[in-house]
Amino acid sequence: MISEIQNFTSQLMMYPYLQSALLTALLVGVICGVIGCFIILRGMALMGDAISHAVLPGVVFSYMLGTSMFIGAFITGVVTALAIGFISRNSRIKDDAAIGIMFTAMFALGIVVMTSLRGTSVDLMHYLFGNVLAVSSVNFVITLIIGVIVLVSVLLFYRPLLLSTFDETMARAAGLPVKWIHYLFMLLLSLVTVASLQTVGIILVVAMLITPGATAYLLTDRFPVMLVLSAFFGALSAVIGLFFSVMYDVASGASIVLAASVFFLLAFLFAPKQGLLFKNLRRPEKQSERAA
Amino acid sequence: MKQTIELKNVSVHYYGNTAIENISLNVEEGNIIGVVGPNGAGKSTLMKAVLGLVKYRGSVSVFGQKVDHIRKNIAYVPQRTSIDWDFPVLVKDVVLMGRYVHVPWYRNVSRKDRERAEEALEEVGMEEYKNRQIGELSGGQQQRVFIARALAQDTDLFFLDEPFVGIDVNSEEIIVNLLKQLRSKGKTIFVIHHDLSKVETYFDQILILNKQLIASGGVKEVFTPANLKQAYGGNAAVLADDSEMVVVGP
Repeated sequence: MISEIQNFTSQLMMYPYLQSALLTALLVGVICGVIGCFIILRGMALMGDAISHAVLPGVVFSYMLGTSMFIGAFITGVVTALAIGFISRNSRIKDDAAIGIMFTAMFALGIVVMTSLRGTSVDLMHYLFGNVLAVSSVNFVITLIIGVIVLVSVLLFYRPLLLSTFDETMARAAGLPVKWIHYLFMLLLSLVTVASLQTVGIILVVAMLITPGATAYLLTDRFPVMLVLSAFFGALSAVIGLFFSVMYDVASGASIVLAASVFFLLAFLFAPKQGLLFKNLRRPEKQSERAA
Repeated sequence: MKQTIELKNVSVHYYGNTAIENISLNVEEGNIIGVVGPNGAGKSTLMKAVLGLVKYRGSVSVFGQKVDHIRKNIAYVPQRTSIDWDFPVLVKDVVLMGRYVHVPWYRNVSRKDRERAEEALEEVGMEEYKNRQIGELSGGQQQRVFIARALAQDTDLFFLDEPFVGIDVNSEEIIVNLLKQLRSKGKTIFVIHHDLSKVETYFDQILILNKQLIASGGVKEVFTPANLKQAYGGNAAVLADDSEMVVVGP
């Protein structure tokens, strides 16, 4: 194992493409982790899944037109988010059903157009399953810009985001523009999804949005700490995933997600307060407390 | 006495169902007002209409203005069931949220804000729990924390949604005393209240509601068997369109 790590670091020194892959993966881990905390606490996991799947037609159209896939992906992501809100507001269809309808429709559209193109499927497959090693330096810069936008927005609007997540009615009563905060959040979610496409791929982005945040959630009772821990687990999973991807020649996105899942499993079992193990150890003690 | 809230012919409809109908009332400042009525009577809807959180017909004014202009002067304490008690916040974090309203987005929470939050926590007797996660508290303690958050907002008008449900006697006493102190400082406190016991000890005035306003005024004049019968008694048919069918008699 140690020789493999040495091998990995020496390769890292040697190949610039590997360096930009690592930096991109780290960045994606961090911003997914941060936005993921809000996703979990706002109960929007399905929405995260939806936005990530819905960017496929945007990616495919961009590919056909030869423009940057970031633009197409971003547009379809935002359009889908707006359409979901429009359907649930203007019919008796509830939010979760509206999400289910819209994202499968968009994803299907993407697949149909993609399969109609000949000889391009390999490139597009990268977006479905992720290939961080194919990240170009241009894409790295775009990811960096998105990362800065996301982190600065969360810092600036930390309190409104937190308050509207924790107690929406109070936030509205106090005059916070809860609707606009929601739109801002959806915008950030779309940006993060777009930035993650090449690294983890459309199908697995939602894992990076939920799993590191969920791991952090089991380890702390304070929201700022959860944000930092979640970003940390996202970044760490990215490095570990990339390592396995390079050393054993397996898909990068999937190995990053697997690393994140292992951390979640560990937290689920061994977290000091919320972990299964210690919860079970504590239980008899609690009962005797109650009896006394 | 100054008017704090004035409603004229306020009605709210949800998808064609009437939640509240044609309600007109005046509330003077420096009172604790109980809003009572059976399940599905529109108590929460009335509160939301006053706060401008639902669409309504008619007119509502608070301190002689539209509610949007004086939101910073209103504190709201939610029903306990509407809060996610697993949320990763400590008691002191929740109380500090009361100060958020007064801090512009480009500035950080100041030391004064923290001190005010701490003070509010002492007022409800919860300072020793300030580093606990909110889910670790009892129902009454949780309620007191949210009251502390409202106190930290330093407002003239308070809305409390079912604050006495599922809380212990000690917490109840602390909350009632606090509300009476606030009243003596000229604050106005609206309390949605579900069961009819203790109405006379809690409130100065009550509004008896069942979609329409059945009666309003001083507790002694209005809290009568006749009015309660009209609101609660034998009208299960009115309640039947609600998910629950509860008839609570006086």
